[in-house]
Amino acid sequence: MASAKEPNLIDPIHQFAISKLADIKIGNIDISFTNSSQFMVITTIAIMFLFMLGLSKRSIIPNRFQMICELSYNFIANLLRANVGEQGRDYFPFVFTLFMFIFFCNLIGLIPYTFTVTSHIIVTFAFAGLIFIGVTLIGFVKNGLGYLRMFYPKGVPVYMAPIIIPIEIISYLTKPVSLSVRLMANMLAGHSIIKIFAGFIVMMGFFGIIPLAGLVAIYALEVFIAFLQAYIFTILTCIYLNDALHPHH
Amino acid sequence: MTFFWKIVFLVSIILWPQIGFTEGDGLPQMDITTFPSQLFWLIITFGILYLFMWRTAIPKLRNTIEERQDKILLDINEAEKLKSEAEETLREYEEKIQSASKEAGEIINQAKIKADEMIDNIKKKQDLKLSQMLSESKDRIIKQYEDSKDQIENAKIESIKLISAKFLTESLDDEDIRKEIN
Repeated sequence: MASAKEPNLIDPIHQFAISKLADIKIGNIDISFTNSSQFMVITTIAIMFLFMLGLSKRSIIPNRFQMICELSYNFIANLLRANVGEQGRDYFPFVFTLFMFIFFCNLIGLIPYTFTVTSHIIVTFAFAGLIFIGVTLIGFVKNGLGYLRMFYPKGVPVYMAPIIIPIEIISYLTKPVSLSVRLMANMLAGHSIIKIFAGFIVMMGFFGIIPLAGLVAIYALEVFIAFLQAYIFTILTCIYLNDALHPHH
Repeated sequence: MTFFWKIVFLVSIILWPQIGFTEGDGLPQMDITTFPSQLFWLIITFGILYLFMWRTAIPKLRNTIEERQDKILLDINEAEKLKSEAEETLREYEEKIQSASKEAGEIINQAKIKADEMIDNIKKKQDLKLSQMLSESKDRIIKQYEDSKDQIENAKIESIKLISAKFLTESLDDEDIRKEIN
């Protein structure tokens, strides 16, 4: 790595490097336990710990941890109800888990010396691909072949069909790409900027106080973005789900 | 600023093979050899979290929230019931007070009437007694007057007898004298 050769060189990408913690192989496939896996496990444990803490003493008047659990529950439940309606109830566990997982990954990644799971395209693309396949299956199961009518909106003149249909198909197929790249790029860019500013602080010595102020501001922004990107990912999932359940709207 | 950097990184991702960030290592995100491991552990961790949420956390949360809503509804119903009961009691109380004051007024009126009657009776009795006493004393006066008249007549007769006995030989009869006097 470059930072090993020249200690002062800012290397904002190094923090995304994956290092093996334990070698595991199944056949030819390398499924080693890496720092990425480590933080996936930490995220899962953190969320489960929070919910176990919040749900250990269930009372009519909630304590702080119960309040956190109930607020997040209500937040996602309202989101799902507003975007999908009552039919969305069946998909609530998935959407809720998705939001909590992405949000906690983003947040935990903001702690110095940690790893951001969601900054890797394969992770976000796995989510987006799962949602894409799931939504497409739900669309065909609920609407049959009528789901294909979605690519040819009502009221469009017939002579426009050769243009409209390919555009609709392309926009449908690019949904998982935009969904995954949006989250991953935000995490990548945000963390890189933090790293670059942090490097400036060291390089400028006493005057490092100026980039420090900037760093504090950007860090606050990144905390906000950590929430915002999890929210955007979730709400887009809800919207795609709604398109699959009610394609004619 | 952040927007600018995001654009820079997006362009970098697209042009990654040409530019490269760190001595040709490239973005760690593009290292395909790490993909199976990431996917494997993602499926395991997310699967466990999903099962936990689906089977444990969400039903518990839903129950808690529903229980609370039920409790609130019950409490509101009970409060409304108690309120209506309290209003009923207040109305009854007011009615009782009104009827009691009416009764009290009636009792006072009756007492007044009774007292008036008693006063009238006493007055009448007293008047009767007075008039009786008056007539009795009148009678007595008349009797005495008559008695004294008789006595005076007798005395007159006696004195005339005495006088006449001195002047006349024959004694006069009482009846004759009476005739003469009257």
